[in-house]
Amino acid sequence: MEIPLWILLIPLAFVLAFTFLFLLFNIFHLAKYGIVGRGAIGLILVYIVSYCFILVVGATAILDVTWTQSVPIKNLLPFTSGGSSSFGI
Amino acid sequence: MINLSSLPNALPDEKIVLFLRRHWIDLLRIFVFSGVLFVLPVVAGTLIELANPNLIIHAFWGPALIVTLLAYLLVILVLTFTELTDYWLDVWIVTTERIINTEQNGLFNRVVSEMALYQVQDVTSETKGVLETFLTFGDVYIQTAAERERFEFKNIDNPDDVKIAITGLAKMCKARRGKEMLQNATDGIPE
Repeated sequence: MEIPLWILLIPLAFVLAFTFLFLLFNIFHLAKYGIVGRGAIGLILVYIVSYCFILVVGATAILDVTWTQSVPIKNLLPFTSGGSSSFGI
Repeated sequence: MINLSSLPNALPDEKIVLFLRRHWIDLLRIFVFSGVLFVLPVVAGTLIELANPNLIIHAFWGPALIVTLLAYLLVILVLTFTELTDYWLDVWIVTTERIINTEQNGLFNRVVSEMALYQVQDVTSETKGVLETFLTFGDVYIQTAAERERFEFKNIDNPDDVKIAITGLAKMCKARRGKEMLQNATDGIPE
């Protein structure tokens, strides 16, 4: 029996949706209730830039993986048995 | 956004005297705590590599680690944002007429209340702790005559100065209101 690697992307998608929603809530709160000035605008920009930065870095690492590959369950344990690398190493 | 130059329900000639946020030490706490949480995966990764170098290039556990790390970083980032928003939206404004208390507790709990300065009965400042004493920050409590919850300025800079300022403003406001009431009363008496 084999486990397809793309299964790992399902929980990640939920986390992405959750964090993106919270990012929007934060921006909404600052935009609606913040005091007019550079501070609130700057904070919103910092939120967007840092979130995008982590997304881009994460996406770069994720794109290196062959997600269509499947891994036999017997190769999962023990860790030392390895299996063929998903990174093309 | 709230514009300080046009406060909601502003009275004529009302001017902002104090605009207060929590002390910068609260901001530092947020950054230090988040920084530790951001560094944690580096420590964990080093330990994992020392314990089992094959794990990171393993066909399944390698990608699993990447996904976990990305999810972890995003959650920590969003939690940091929420704390920063909470800090940024906790604001106390003292004008020549009233005190406006705005407190954000998390993302879905916001309290905005105001109190006329002539209602102020008692102002107490409290600096408790070593760090608070050296960095001169603490709380200010404002009590009215009415049986309502007292106002609390949490972790503000120079609480003693704020207390003195509010007490002075309240006295001036009461004197002004007294004069206005006297004027109104004398205006009503027929000659």
